[in-house]
Amino acid sequence: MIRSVSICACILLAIASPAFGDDDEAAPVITKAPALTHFEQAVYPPAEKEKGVEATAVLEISIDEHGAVTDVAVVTSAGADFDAAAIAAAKKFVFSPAEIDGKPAPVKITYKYAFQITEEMVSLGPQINFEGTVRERFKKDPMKGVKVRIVDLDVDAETDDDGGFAFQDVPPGAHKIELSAPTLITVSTEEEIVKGKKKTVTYFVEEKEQGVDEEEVVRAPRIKKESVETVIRTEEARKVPGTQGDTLKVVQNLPGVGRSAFGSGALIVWGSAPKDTRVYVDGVEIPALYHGGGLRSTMSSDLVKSIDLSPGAYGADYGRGLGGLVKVETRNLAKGTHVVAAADVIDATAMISTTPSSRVKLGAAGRYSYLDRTLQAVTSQDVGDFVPIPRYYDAQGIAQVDLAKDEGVTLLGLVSDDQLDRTIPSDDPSAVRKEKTHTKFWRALAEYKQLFPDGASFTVTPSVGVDTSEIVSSFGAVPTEIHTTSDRYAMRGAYRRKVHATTTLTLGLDGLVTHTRVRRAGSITLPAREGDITVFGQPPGAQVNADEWTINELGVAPYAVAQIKTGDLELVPGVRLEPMVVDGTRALPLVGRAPERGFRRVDWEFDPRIAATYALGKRLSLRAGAGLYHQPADPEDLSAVFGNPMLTPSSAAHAVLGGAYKLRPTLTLELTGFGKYLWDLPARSELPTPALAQALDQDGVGRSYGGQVLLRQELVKGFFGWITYSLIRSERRDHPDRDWRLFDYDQTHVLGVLASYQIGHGFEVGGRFRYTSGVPRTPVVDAYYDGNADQYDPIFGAQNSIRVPSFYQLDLRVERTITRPSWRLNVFLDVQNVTNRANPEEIIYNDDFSRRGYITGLPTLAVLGARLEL
Amino acid sequence: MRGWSLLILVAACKPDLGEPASLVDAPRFLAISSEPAEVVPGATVTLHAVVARPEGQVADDAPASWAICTTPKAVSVNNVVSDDCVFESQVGLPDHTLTVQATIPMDACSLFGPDPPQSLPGQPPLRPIDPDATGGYYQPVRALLEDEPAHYIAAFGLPRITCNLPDAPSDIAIAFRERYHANTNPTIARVLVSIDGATSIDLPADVPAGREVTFVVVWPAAAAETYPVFDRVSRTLVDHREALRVSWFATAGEFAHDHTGAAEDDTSTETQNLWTAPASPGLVHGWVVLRDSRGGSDVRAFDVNVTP
Repeated sequence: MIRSVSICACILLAIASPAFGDDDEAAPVITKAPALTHFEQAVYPPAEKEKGVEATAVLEISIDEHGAVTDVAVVTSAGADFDAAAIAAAKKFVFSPAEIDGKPAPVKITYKYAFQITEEMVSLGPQINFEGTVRERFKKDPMKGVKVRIVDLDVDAETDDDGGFAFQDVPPGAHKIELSAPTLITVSTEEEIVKGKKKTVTYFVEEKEQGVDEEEVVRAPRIKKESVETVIRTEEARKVPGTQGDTLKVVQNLPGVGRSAFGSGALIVWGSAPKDTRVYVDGVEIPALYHGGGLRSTMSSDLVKSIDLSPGAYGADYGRGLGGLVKVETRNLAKGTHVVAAADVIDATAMISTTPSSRVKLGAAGRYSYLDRTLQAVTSQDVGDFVPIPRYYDAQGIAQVDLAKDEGVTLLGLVSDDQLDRTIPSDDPSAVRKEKTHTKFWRALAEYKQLFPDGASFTVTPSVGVDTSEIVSSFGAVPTEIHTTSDRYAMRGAYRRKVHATTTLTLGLDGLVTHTRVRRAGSITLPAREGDITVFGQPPGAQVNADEWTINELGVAPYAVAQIKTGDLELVPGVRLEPMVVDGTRALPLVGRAPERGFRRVDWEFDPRIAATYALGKRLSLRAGAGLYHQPADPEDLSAVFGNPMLTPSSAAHAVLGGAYKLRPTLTLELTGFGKYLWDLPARSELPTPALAQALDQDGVGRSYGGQVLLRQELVKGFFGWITYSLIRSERRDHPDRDWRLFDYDQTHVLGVLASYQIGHGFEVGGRFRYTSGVPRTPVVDAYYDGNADQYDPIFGAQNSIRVPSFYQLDLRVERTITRPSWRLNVFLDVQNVTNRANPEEIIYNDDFSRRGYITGLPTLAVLGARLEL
Repeated sequence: MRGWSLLILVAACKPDLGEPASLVDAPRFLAISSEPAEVVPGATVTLHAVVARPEGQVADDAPASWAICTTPKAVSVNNVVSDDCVFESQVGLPDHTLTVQATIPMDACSLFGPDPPQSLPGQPPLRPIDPDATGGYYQPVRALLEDEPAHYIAAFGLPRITCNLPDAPSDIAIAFRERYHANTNPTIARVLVSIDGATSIDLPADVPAGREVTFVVVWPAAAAETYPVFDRVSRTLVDHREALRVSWFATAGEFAHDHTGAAEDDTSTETQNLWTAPASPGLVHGWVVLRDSRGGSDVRAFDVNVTP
């Protein structure tokens, strides 16, 4: 299409007046009108054209009996320049002679000459109507030699030095595009070519990880449904100081994530309770991202392709959680046989993969810890007293089968096991502390993917698994025993296709059936809940009870997500319907020998969600998102003795608004503000004698709000890093008549600075600095003496009105990688807390609460480890 | 495959919070005993508070105020009583010395036991108070002592109250009533000291300054009583034996442990503790308090003459 000038002319009046004088004869009759046989294009006045002025001149043209123009006069002026141009052109017109009464005769006509600037299609021969650039996804470098193929037309092009490619005269309509290269993961997408318009695209493709030379079986175009999402590549994550090479631990360093106390391994995302954040591996939920203590993740880094963290306002395809969302994606196994082994002071890990046939790849990985024994050997008993170090292992098995081109199945099995068994002996029988915990989960999933020729895709992932948790402890004479086993059967499926040139639609189903058995006996107040007013080390209340119950939950959540892209605006609305059947065995505590009475109900929830992105130019994009979220009650809270069987799902509304500005292709500044409001939160009853089976009520509300800044340099020229700062306030109100209080996990300021640089010769250095506000605690203002227990009980001040002092820590990492044709060795020294700062982790009091001190975290910890890849 | 590891830890994590609990360096309660140790509502008990100060034990006729708590604590509270009982919600007792007579209120098993108050019409029944691990319920009684002008220290005595077993099957409840005997206070038979591994001797005794000596508390075998508990897991009666615990106090020197004792499965009839005499000679006052796990107690005071 070209922009051009056209001049429209028309005869308004065939004959203005015959060229005759008056007489008495009968009026002549025009038997044939003059017809324009030669049109002369007027010259558009340049000055007017430049200004874009359009005009119309009305002319009177005199035509002789031969059809020649003899005179032109202006009837309605369009301006001097337009009039002159029109007259000049009109004088060169040639007409067929007009006839009056059957004979050629001179006539005058009125002629309208319009000067218009129009756009018109001009065929100039073969045209490029589909072109673009291919760049590497992370470094943003142009990729040369990438084969870009229009599958349905069976034509292809190869990118040049600048990563560019072009196709000529691609027929209008939808076309499947495939990008491939020896070093790339083959990707497929779909493009819509519109008649008369040239399509220009930029593709960001991902290079295969080292050793991976197989095509990915199916890779449908991703739809970004999250308003705020941070994606970290495995290659970067492994090099983050303080993570000891554990890819998934990088989540702890992402914006919006608070710092968990050493020994907890909790994920505190945008002021949400750790249990409210969901973790998925290939679409299947797992109960914990980290082993106890947060030392390691529950899955081998060698099987992880990427980690996505969405702190809130995520899409409708995930639910049953009020907090954030962590998605872990497994990687494609490399062709051939490969072995990876690594060991450091914490644990040892190994991974092996092989390719028994061209269509099948198998892999297995495992990890076993020994830090508990290492610490016993080198440090005091105190460390073990205050910082429980669990013994853990995890293992994974994976099989990737190519059923056909664009069709494949991945079978994945996961198991994770944590055990902690410790006794703090004492000559005082009431001071003997025993603690034995055992948490374990396993999952088996089969993920089937198919990409259709029209670009649509279908994914279905059935899975089964079991979560078990055992807590057996005694604090003096007060025992606590909780045994929980939960069988889980899940099915997640989604069909996605382009339904319009601007719209891609995903329809899915997220089904989950759980069968949970809980047996609990002992302390009413252990384990502590968020909002409990207590101090570290305080013995639990002396009251005990027991209950045993079973909860069955059936949830089938259909959802729909649309991606609508119109110009610079991309909208992703979604909706999720969440019916949940809850069936329990005990609605009331057992009394005498009366049979237990169960309960059943259906909770219906409707969760609309939306995300929007608007591109303001090539560098700046604005993002917004909002949605409703629901989370079913924890089965452990549905006890008739310790909880409340009638608890319904808790609710939350999320809203985010932010923007991202690309300072450079690999350097991005992101600014995000967010707000969350939560309601129907369970909290302990404050009554001494609440109604039966209502030890918990559901009057709690919460709110968290704040903002975060992320300046991120992606890996380029051996350097990557980011600076992140979050300002967050999170509050709760447990009962309507109470004041708002700070959330137990609230951390106002969270600052993280992280960088890694390859200095050459295989050496790489990195550093991480973290600063966080201390978590809130309730001060002790006085104490009184309990004559039976010979102990002091604290009298508390305002809840959560003081804080543990701020935490800051500097970690450094140095590593050396030696690469040979058949092996690669990586040796690293990861030094945590290089300044040996005694970071307070908890407030502790003396026996009568007259003195206060702090339990401090780990001192300087140098971890030397090695990793060998064959 | 090869691996290397190295760990460097250069500090510990536990803070130093000053003097041990066994050092009497300020006025403080050491125990509040009840005689009898367990009664039914409406019965009268004698409460005796033992208060020590660095100069020695406070005389029994020292002024103190007492009050019976009338507000149970919330389910979620770890403390032994509700804050309301510390500051208000009490019924004062007429006596004002460290030994008083108190009548356990008739509604004690309703407020602090398994017989919950009647719920309002149309409302669900109320949750009973949960027992402790020994199946016991307790009536809090507050003692207040002015340790210096306008400054008070508070302590709670908790006489055990005999209540019903309402949530057990009737046959279990009947068997429980037949087998259960109200708790009695344990007694301290002797307090001995052993110097340089020599035969233990009765107190008072002379101990060289700075010397480590071993104190021994002896009790009769009957001090640890056996009692049935309704086990809410098996929903049967299970016999338990009382654990015994000794609290050690001294106005100078340092005990190795603030508490020692015998666990439920420990049938020994004595416990011992290492004490390091102060470096300066002088008279040191000491106390041992023997407690059983059902709230009974006995107190024995002793003196040690620290010699140069």
